[in-house]
Amino acid sequence: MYDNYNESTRQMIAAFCMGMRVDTATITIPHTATTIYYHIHGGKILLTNLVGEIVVAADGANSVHIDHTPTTGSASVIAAAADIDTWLIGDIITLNGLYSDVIFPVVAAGKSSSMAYKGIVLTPGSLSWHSNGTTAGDWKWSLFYVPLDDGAYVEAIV
Amino acid sequence: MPKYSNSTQEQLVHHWLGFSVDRATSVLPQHGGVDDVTYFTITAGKVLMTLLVGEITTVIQAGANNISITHTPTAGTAAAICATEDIADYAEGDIFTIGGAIATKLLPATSAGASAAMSYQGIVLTPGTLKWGSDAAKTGNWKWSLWYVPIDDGAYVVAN
Repeated sequence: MYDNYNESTRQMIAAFCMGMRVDTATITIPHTATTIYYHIHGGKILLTNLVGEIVVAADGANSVHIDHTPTTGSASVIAAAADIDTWLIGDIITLNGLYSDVIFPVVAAGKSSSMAYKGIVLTPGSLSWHSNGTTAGDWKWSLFYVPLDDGAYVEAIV
Repeated sequence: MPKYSNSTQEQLVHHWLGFSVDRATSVLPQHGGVDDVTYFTITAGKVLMTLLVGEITTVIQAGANNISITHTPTAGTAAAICATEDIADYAEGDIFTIGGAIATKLLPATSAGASAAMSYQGIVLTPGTLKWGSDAAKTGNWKWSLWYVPIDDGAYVVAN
């Protein structure tokens, strides 16, 4: 029976289980730079999950972390830095929810625990990715969320 | 993923978090720990509080100010729902959540516009009040929102 649902119903079930999904395109890993991937508009959201996938492997040491920069308020890291040097095509990256925890998994893998918390509350602003290397490598990300304020939404800008 | 209508998004939030109750913007508690202020009242049965979010709308006056949140049941024993946290360095736009364990401080541990929220499924609350306290009288405004699902028939939460 599970194969009988049409695509829109499957998408709706996914949204109810994980929140609404916003995808980036496949993009190059930042080169010692800060790159904004997502904007949060219109109010607070609950980020329910964040999933990255390596599309082209990195070729050297490159420590990556993810920051939230609010329009009003204090900027902060939402996941501590981890070196993605050994990560392979198809490996995935998630986060735990507590900003002091490194991105998951701690070592390269095509699987990962994700989000021990109910989510991360984010005020309007941006989510940016940071790296300290200039390695090759591409990845793509999917962010899942539910709005906490009326009209709040997330936009991928890459 | 398709763009869902506002009503569908509201249903989605209900599915995730339950019902929301917003409290109007107010000044911080000013009673120096003597008389805590009731922000929410639980009525007619138990609820599962799934999320609690505070947001600073006017910057907090400098100086130490430890904030507490206490559940005072109509029948039973009052208890903190999180450990006290000094909010002296928090800025306008910063937010607060709770982790769900009563020994855990307000989150985030340092000022930020982002915070992990509720590592547990929620906190079960019996009928009574949620009170905010402080150990100082500092200026500054904030607002709070609570999400819950009723456990007993007819149970609900109102903002005070």
